[in-house]
Amino acid sequence: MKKNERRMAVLGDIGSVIGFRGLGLEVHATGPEVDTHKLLRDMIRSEQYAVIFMTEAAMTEVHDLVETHRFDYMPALVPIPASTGNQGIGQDAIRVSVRKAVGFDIFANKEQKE
Amino acid sequence: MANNRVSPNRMSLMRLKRELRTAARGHSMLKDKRDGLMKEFLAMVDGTLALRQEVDRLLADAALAMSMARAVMQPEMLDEAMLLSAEALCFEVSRKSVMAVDYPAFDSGAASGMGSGSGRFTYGLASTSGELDLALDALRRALPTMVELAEKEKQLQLMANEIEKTRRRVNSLEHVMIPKLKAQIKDISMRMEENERDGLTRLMKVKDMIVAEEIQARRRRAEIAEAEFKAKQAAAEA
Repeated sequence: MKKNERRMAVLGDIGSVIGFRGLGLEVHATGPEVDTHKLLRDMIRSEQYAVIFMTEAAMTEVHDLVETHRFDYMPALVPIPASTGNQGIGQDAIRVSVRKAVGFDIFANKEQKE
Repeated sequence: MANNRVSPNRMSLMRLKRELRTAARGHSMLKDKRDGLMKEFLAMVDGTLALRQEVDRLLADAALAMSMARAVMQPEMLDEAMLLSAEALCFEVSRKSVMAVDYPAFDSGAASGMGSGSGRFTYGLASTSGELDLALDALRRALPTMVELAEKEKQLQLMANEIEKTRRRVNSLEHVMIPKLKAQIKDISMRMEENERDGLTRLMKVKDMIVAEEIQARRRRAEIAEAEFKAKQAAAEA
């Protein structure tokens, strides 16, 4: 691996993420028997990952860790919908940034109107 | 400001005035930075939200295709195919900067170029179904958008962080630092004026005392001279 080359990883239940393995991404299955918290912490500490995609379920499980590293330079922790459906956590992540920058949620009203 | 008094002399007045100038300049510059960042940020938000919806849609398609593949294939065969095709994907990360906010830029070209061409299916075609190929194609289409989204989201997060920091700095300069310096400067200049008036009154008082002494001394001299004159006159008459 070259100096500024990083890997991409996908975290989530095996059914949702196994396809990414076919594309050459690093896939880590989560489940009741896996300590997702430790897994993600080790991945972040290794500083080898630029992006870690996580299913929304996995994201909720390690919510505190995601919050801690939200404003780090790298890696980007990006929620993706699981095969079971979309809970809208991805949009929430953007709205958290908006709320932090603007001071209030400028999209809250917009969505209610729609 | 009672809590940190400064000695009221010209030296500290000059120092405070210099500090106030620096603070005011810093304040206006940080304010510009905050406004600039905010502009960039708001311009990006809509695009990122759209990108997020696009990714959600693409992945939903991919998930549907994947469930089709699962339905027609043996689970073991599927897992095996996926295991075989692990050709590790690395991509270049460079550093970009908007208004002095550094953010990582991911080379999505690597992601989109990857897996195309003759070697796109690394698993055996005999044991797998066409649905799996379709599912992987759907994922492959989604990946560049996902990488782009990751970059944009990270940029938004880092910018939001910077905006908040800048806003705090602007506020603390505006509401704490600058009023404090102004109050100190006013305090010092008022105390210096007071000292000046002190000195003036003291001088006037001293002058009055000196004048009074002088008057008395002259009066005494005049009395003595008069007495001498009268004595001389008396001697002449005698």
